[in-house]
Amino acid sequence: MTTLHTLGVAEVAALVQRREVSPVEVVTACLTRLEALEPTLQAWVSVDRHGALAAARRCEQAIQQGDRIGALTGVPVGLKDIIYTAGLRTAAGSRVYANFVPTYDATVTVRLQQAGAILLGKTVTTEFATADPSPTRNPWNTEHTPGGSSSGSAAAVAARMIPAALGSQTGGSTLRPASYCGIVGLKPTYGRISRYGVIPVSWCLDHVGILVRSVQDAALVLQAIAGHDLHDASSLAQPVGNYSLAVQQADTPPRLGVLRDFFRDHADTETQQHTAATVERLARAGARVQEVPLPPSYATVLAAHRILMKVEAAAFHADMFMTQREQYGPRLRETIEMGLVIPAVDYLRAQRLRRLFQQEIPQMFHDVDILVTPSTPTPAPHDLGTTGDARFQSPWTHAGVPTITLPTGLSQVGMPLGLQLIAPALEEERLLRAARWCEAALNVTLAPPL
Amino acid sequence: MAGERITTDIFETLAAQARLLWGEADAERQRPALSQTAEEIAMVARTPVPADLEPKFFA
Repeated sequence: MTTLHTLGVAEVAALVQRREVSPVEVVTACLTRLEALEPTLQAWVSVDRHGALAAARRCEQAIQQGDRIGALTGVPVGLKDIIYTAGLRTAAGSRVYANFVPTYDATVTVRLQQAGAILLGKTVTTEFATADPSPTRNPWNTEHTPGGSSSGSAAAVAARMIPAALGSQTGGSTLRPASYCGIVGLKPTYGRISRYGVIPVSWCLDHVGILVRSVQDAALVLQAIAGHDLHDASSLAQPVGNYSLAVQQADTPPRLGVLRDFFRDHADTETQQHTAATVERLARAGARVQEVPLPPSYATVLAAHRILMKVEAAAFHADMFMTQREQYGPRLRETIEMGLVIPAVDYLRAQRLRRLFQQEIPQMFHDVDILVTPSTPTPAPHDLGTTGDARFQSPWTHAGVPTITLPTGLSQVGMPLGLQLIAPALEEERLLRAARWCEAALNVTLAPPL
Repeated sequence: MAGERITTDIFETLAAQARLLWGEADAERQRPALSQTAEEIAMVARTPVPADLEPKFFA
């Protein structure tokens, strides 16, 4: 029973369902692990020990009574501290929200709980999910950044404190920390997961993300929380796919389109070589690989993305910022200050350019199923003053298309490296199927030396 | 756009706004960020957009 904390989502759910393991035992094991490592990693804002154990006991009782149980019954989870939890403080890593206690749950909180997941607590976020670093440390080396903004979620899952956590992504805030910490990070199509009750950075760019340790676990969590939500104006009405089935049908090698140009030019030598070797391994395993050029509109993607993010962050924070400016960290403060002076016509031009990029994306998939890039330009920087570089994730967040990162190995200094897979909008099943195939072909699972 | 806007002109416009909002000293502190933002705006402004392409806020 001492290794219960190392089990993934699918393993916990299956063992609990078969009554081979009690949810109370799983939660206790995760809490023990969490409490042992938290002084070093600082991944949690709050841990609801009492509430988690009470929920685990209710689960146990329901199972004993033969009640119908959800797909995530007994699975401990963490929520990034920008996600509303009724009655539980949601401070968003901010002095401005330091005492904010939501009166209702975010839709994702409700859906996780309806599926039987057990909330262990709230994970550390950078201030309002932006770029000022959080206190969280990377489990692979505490002198390296864990990335951000979903710092605590990534570190907690990588350190085997919990099998799954939710984060968010406006630029690269789920995939980047996932890659830096050696785990799987999934950002689905914009609007696939409700943002209701999630403190925004930028309404048109924000996504809820999933941090886990396997593709199958990503599919299970997505299955539980995806779907239309009347409370979220951006929520998609299209039917939710069968993601759990998709990962079981991953026998056919995918056609992979490798993006070089920008992604080769901005990656360090080690990352370039590692990515080339990873793609070569996938080709040897049967994947068809070809290069795919970037569309013309790619040239303005990062500039347009930054304009949208700055203006929308400024719009959300404007009132609070005017009266509590000194309470904001330097990077977020700068973001808001810039957003307040960008002309509306330039914001709208950036929105139009975003749409142009979205319209050009389908042609990139003409001859391939999935696009691949390194997940990040470098491994996690040896610098706690940064959350790293979001340039490899931001374009796809900007377009709203689904992406996933898989751990692929370690750098020379022992930090994780990852591969980013990209699919067209609403093709989560295709993405998960390809990711599962790549995961099996590469056979890489990383566990930090803790 | 009629008449290409150059980065220095955009920067001056942004800096003037910043001075109005926060005063001289604070606007001076913001100079590097204003300069970077001006470059981003210039890049977006000089890229042609089809006349009939409307913005779509929720993708």
